[in-house]
Parts: sequence; C-alpha cells; structure tokens
Amino acid sequence: MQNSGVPIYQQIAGQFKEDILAGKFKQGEFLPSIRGLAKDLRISVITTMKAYEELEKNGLVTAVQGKGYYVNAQDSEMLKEQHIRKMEEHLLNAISAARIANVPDSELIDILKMLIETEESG
Amino acid sequence: MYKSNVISINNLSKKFKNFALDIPSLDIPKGFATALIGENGAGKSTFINILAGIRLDYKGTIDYFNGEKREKVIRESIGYTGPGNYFMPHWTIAQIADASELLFEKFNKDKFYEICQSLGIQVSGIKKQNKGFNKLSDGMKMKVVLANVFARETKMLLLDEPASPLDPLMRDKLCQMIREYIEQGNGGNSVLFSTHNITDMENVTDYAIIMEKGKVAEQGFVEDLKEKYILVKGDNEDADKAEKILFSFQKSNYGFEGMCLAENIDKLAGLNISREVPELSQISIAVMKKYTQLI
Amino acid sequence: MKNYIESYHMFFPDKKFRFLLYLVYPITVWTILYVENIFFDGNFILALTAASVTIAVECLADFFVFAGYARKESGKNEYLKTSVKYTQLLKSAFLSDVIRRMSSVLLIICVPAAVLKIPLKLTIYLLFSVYFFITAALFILRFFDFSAAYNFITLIIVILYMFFSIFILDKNSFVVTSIILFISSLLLIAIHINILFRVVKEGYYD
Repeated sequence: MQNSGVPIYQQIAGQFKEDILAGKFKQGEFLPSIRGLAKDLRISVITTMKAYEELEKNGLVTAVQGKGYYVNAQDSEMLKEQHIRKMEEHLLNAISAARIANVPDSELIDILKMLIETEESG
Repeated sequence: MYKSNVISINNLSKKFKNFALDIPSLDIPKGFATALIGENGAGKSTFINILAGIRLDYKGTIDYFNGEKREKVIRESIGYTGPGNYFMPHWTIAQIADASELLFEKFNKDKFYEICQSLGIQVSGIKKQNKGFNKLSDGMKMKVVLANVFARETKMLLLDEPASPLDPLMRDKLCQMIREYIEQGNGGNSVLFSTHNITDMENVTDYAIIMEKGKVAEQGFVEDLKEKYILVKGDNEDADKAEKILFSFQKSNYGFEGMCLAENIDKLAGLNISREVPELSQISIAVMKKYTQLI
Repeated sequence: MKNYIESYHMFFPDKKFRFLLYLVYPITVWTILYVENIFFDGNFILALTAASVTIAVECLADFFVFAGYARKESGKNEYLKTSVKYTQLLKSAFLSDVIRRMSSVLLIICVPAAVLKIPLKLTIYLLFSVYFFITAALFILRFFDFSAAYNFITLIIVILYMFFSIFILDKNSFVVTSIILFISSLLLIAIHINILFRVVKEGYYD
C-alpha cells in the first residue's frame, strides 16, 4: 500500500494543498473532520490527522481545539504564482511533445492561438 | 492537536506458572484505534481480560475515563468481545437479545437485529437463525458477538482477536465498523483490539502496542513508528558492515534486508542501499525478534 | 419481580423448557397418579410414585439450568461477567429457582393429596421429605456438568428415598421426621446458596 515511497498522509496533504490553492475551499471553511475523512477514505485516523498537521505546518490551515481545521486566507500573490508555475510546467510539456513529433515552433504557436480562440468562443 | 488518554495503567502485574504480565506504565490514547500486537501467549488476552473486568486478580492500578471510579459507569461504558466462552452456550440470537437487555442498560435490541441482518445473519422469517450459540461456526459466532457490542452505547471497545475467525470480506467490514464507531464518538470513543496478524487491521490502526512475553516491547502512533524505523535493503557485499548498524538483519542469496533506526541511518552513508517506509507488520516482527533476543 | 423471572429464564435452554417445566411436569405427575389410582389401592404406593417422579424430574431438569454452577470455573460466561448486573442477576435466578421449586413441590403433592384423600400426616411427610431429598441431591449434582453424573446420582437418590420412606413408614414417625427434614432443608439451602454466590465471585480470580 505504501511502497511507492510517498507516505499516504503526504499524498492526502498534497491533494488538499492543491485544492486549497486552487480555491476549492473558502477562507475560514472547515476541512472534513479527521475521523469522518478516515472513514470515507477507509484509512486510520492518525493518517488523516498527520495529513492535516502537515497542512498546518505549511501554513495552509489552522487547528481549533474541539472543532477541527479551517482553511487560512491564501495569499493571492502566492496563488497566482502557483498557477503560473503550473502553466509553465504544462507549456514545457507541450514543447517537448512537439519536439518529439517534429512539429516546428511556429506551428506550435498557431495551434496555441487556435485553442485559445476555441476556448473563448465557447 | 491535544491528545488525551482513555485508560492509564500503572505497575500492572500478574504472575502465572511460567509467565508473568509486567507493565510498569501504559496509556491508551483516547479517540483512536489501538492495536495490541503480539504472538500467541504474549499476554494480550490476559491484559484485555484485566482491562475488561473479567479478571480481578492482578496488582497495580488502572485509571478509566479520566478518573471515573464508579464500577457501574465503567462497566456500562466498556464493550468487550472475546474468542472464548462468551455467551451461554445454549443461547439463541433471541435469547442473547433478551439477556443483553437485562445485563446492560444501553443495549439497543433493534440495532442488534439490524446489525446481525446486515452481517448476513437471518433474524426473522422462515430461515431465521435459531441455533444455540455454541453450534454456530466460529465466523458466525464472532459476527453475533460484534453485532451485540456495537448495539450498545459505549465509550470504549476492548476486542480480543476480533479478526481471527473472520473471512477477509468481514474483516474489512469490521474495520469500517470501527471507523464509524470512532467517528460517532467525535473523539470520545476509543478502541483497543488485539491481533497476532496486524496486516488485516493495519489500515484502521492509529496506535500500536507491541507485546512480547508479558511486557511492552514498543509502542507509538503508527505514523511516528514509520518514521522511527526505516526498511533498508542492500547488496551482500555490504552485509557485514550493515549488520552492525541495523536494528534487525536478514540475509539471503539476493542481498540483505533489515530495519534501521532513523537515528542511525546516517551511519549507512556510502553503502549502496534502498530505503523504504516499512509496514506496521514489518516493524512488529523486527521488534518482537529483537526483544526475544534481549531478554 | 419481573426481573427475577427473566433472570431465571436466562438459564433455561430454550422457550419450550418453560412449557415443560411449568405445565407438562405437574400434569404428567398427576396423570400418572390418576392412572395408578385406578389400578392400585393404597396411599403409600401412590405417595411413593408421586415422590419419586417429582424428585427425578426436578433433578434431571436442573441439568439444563444450573449444571456445574457449584464448581468454580473462570473460563465461561465472559460476556456476562463484564456486566455490573451479573452477580445480582445470578442471585435473583438462584432465589427464583428455590421459590419455584417450593411452589412446584407444594402444588404437585397437595392437589392429588386432596383429590385422592391421602391422610394428612403422609402428605406432610411427602412435602418435606421430597423437598429435602431434592435439595440434598442438587447440592451434590451442581458440582457436575455432564449428564451421566446427573442421571446416575438422580437414580441413587430416588432409590435412597424409597428405602428411607419405607423405613420411616415402619417406624411410623412421619411428623417428627418431617420437622427434622424441614429444618435440614432450610439449612442446606442456606449453605448451598452461600456456595453458589461464593463460586460466582471466585470466577473472577484464578
């Protein structure tokens, strides 16, 4: 179950981190209870607890005794930076795929423009 | 998050002919599922019987529910299950339900029948299960026993080898029942179960107590134990060097493997090794072996 | 009161046992006596029949209820032992059993005694001697938990009862004997209950 090397709690923390930075949680919103989450994911409570503690360490959530963990206000600069990094990552992937398929750079840019137009029109 | 204890044990000891239970200090964390891991004969059943109030001849003190002293309250709040002679051998499911209403105040008869039915035991109609308890198969017995304990309102479950007689599907169901119980209590419900095969219950285990020959050899939250112990694998040319540093060591034709304490991992620098997060079962085996060597 | 009855029934093997114990048992004894009365004339024969069937049924029936309960056994009824009400329920059950037995013996002996016009002295002797012999038998029986022991000892007790009754008839000391047996019964019950309660408590220790 865990032999990929990444402990489950880190995988969970990572997933929540993505969701929080993507804005899926409102500021001040409480994450699911550690015991409820453990039940839904069919894992042990200590694992969800450790995942949330990890999120707290990274400043993404705050723990409230007796109530759970709520989402901190996310720095919009940090959010934006996160998204830009993601965008660059995806673009680099597109470039390397284009190279493998022997698609010239100019054609790549044209395809990008066309996709943007299609996105905008609907 | 603040962690508190549901049971605190001090200087617990019980002597038998060729065995002694000796636990100077042990705390069971509240709101979690604790696994009591050990071989057959390590003292798990004796320990649980003492906690459940079935066995009263022991020395030492046990503190329940943060200072609760009333025996009535303690016994009502604890749900015990065990693999031994549990119900009266002749009782049918109906008799078990009737007796439970007499024996425990917060027993819910309807919930009992509901859980029985959901576990595949026919409680009404033509195919109604009417055999005496002792005539049921081991797996069925445990299902009835578990249905009974989950039909009561309790704050702590003490389950002695609940998974042993169950098939894999039912084991999974048991894990989920434990998770639901812990969720319902919102931090107030705790579970302690014993097992000699932790693999089945590993993904519901929060805290582990490893017992060997009547003593606690190791304990801790699972995530902490998985950081304390590192599973190391390497080639045989490094075997001799590694053996001196590793906590547990095993060699084969294909290389060596062993558990390394996190604090010692740097001493293996320079060797061609792989590091893995161990499973709880692997940690348990290493600890039990090591403990047997020491004493 | 309801609690007493329910705790007693906890020890019964099944629901039909109640039917057998409360209904079939007395009717069987009465039927036997009724039939016997047609063929035989003689109070003493009827008396011995009533007595021996009653003693036999009471002893053998107990096997299905409290067999082995005078012997300390730490390894059974673990579920019950975790309850704070267990000891109290056991006590209720034992006491219910004593009262039930007194009532049964009283009813089973007195009804035919009145109908068949059995003399008073003999009736009184029957009541107290039967009750005493059953009590004495159970005192011993409950140390055993296998049916062969119950069967064998019951047989011995019934035979002993026959000889004893013939001896008493010979001596014609029904009243004195009855008084002695009555007091002895009470003593025996007190000691027996004491043993049973102590054994339950010891079940929590090695």
